[in-house]
Amino acid sequence: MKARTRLVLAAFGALLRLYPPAFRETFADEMGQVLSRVLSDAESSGHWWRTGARELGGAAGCLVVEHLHLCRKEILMNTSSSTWWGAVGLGLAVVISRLPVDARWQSSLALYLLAGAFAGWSLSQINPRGAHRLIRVMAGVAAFMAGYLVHALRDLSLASSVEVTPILTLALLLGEPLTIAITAAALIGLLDRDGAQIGRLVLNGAVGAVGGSLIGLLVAFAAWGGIQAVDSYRPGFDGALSSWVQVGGHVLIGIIFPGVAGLMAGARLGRTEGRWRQMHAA
Amino acid sequence: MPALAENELPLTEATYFILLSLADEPRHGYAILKDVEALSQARIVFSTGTLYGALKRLLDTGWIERLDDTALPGSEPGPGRPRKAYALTQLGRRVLAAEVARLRTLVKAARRRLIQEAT
Repeated sequence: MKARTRLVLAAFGALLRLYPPAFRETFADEMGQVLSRVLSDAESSGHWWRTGARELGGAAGCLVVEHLHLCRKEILMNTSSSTWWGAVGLGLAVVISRLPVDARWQSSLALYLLAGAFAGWSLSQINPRGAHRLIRVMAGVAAFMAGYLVHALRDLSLASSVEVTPILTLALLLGEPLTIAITAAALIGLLDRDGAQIGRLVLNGAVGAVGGSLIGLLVAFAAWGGIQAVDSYRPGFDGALSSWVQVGGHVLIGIIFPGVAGLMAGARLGRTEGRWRQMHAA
Repeated sequence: MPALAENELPLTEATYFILLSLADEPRHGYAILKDVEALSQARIVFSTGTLYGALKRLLDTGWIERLDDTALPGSEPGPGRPRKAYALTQLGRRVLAAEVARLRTLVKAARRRLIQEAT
């Protein structure tokens, strides 16, 4: 066997180790045998380089496809409607907290309370039992209250005489949704410390939560008059870097962070529900 | 034709040729690879990875089954683990027949129209 063939076989073997375990256990031996014969044919036919490249490319492509198939199968098999609704609800809650409100702090507080209750209700959908349900509602409210605290601090900083640089603006804008996301994940994590199949659950949560957040964003802007919200940027927009940073920050907190927050929480929702269902199945 | 088989149509070209390759007898992975290349006149050349990805999908759907080749007629047990061969199941055969019928209808319609235009 030539050195280049051994090299391709070694690279192929390394790629095989990255395949999902079930696939690897079933097919790895056979695939190795078939590849050896294919490469040996290619040595005699003179198409060795083309064959080698096709085989390695095919193995890499199939690796991705197999993982995607596995994830899709897991999601379809293990996700019930309450997980989806929980994730969508949390996404919507983050969006509600981002709705434009006037300067009166009461309106902001009311909005955050509403979002927190909505998030808590979403969490409670997973395991609708008495005390447990109440704890989850409280967890949702607490996460959003932490977000409100950062929101209030941000307003305070912006109102003071501190010079607002683009970086500071971005940091102030990102602080609030990050706080909500991290607090929500930590609180939900406290309710469920069982750590299994995290990858599946993150993906599980990601699909539902990002989708939910985007839908929520559309609903929220439609309800509040998206045109006014966009118009409010126009008069002061001068094309300077700081203006772009401000608009970019609003896009981030309006779209991306609700998705991330929902993702983290959705992952937890999936995990909690998986454990609950296992318990009941047992 | 059972509705179950027709619901799976149309097949991808790769799936069609794999099923066709197994229509006459069970084959090993390498034999399928070569047979598909020949049947498709080299239009479909699988890499090992894509072939086994497709085989796995067909096993999952129950259109093909995996056999020890010691169970095949004319094979002799060798040293080590038995090699595996793939065979069409009844369901796979029905799906293939439904796809062939579908293709036949398409060709018939095209022929009718092209003959009409020529006359």
